[in-house]
Amino acid sequence: MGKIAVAAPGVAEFAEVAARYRPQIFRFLLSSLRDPDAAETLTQDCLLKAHRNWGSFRGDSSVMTWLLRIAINLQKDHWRSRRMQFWKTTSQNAVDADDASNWLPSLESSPEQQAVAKDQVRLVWKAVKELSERQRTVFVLRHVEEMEIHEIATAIGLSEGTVKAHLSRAMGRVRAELGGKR
Amino acid sequence: MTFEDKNRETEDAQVEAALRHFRDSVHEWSDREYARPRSIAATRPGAFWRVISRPVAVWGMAAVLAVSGVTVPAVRHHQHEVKLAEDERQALEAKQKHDEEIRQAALAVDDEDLLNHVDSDIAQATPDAMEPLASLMSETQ
Repeated sequence: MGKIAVAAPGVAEFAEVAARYRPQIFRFLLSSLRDPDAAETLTQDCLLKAHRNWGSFRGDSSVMTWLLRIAINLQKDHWRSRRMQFWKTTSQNAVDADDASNWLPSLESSPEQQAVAKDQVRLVWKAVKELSERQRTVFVLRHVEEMEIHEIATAIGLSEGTVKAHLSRAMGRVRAELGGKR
Repeated sequence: MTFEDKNRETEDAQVEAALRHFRDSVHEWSDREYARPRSIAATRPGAFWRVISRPVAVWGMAAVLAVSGVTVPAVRHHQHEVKLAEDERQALEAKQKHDEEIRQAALAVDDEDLLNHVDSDIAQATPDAMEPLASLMSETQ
């Protein structure tokens, strides 16, 4: 993942860190929320909060893990506030799973392989949509951000065993969705 | 390797492929969305309702409405009273001016003309009882 694992750097270095990790934070929030506007807003909030607390960052974890921890907390607040606003649907601006599966890099494969890949992506999105908030976060960090179990545990603030349990349940759901199709 | 093992291996490979496609898809989508220009206004829908839903804003607006509900009619009533007083004053001034014009016109008449006027009036209107005396005067003249 190309993380920076260093002692707390100076405030002057924050701009460089923000520029480097901003796309990854945005990607994590986009895959969790499926709402580009909300992901952009929360990415800005995350970097603002990180900037305010930059002085207290001790370097116990990598910068990315620390930033993701802030992003995960903001995401929790976001879901909580959306639930409180009962007159709004929680996925008002979220992109539909079918639309989200349209994005595939231009691989050098046949149209048939592209169609199969698109269908698989759609089924994974369908399963991810049904996961609990915590399971989804663990799944995204593991399979989109490719983080190790101990990094996920640090970012979420759970034990490695609990992270593995959430991941196992999430994978069971994904396997069931993919298996049901075949 | 048994048939079940082979089957599980195939299934794992398919799941791995699906997860790889999913990851690539999310990365592609994220890169496109990240590069897309986005307006600030679009990210903050319903700002008016967020402000209006705050208790402080609600109480503030209620206070403004209550104060304006009392002061606006009072101000309008005051303006109406002032206008009536002004109209009354202007009417009084116009009347005074008219009376003054009449008085000035009366003063403008010459005293001699006035006496002549009175004399002719008297001459023309000699009462019947004074007629013998009037004829006597004309004979002596």
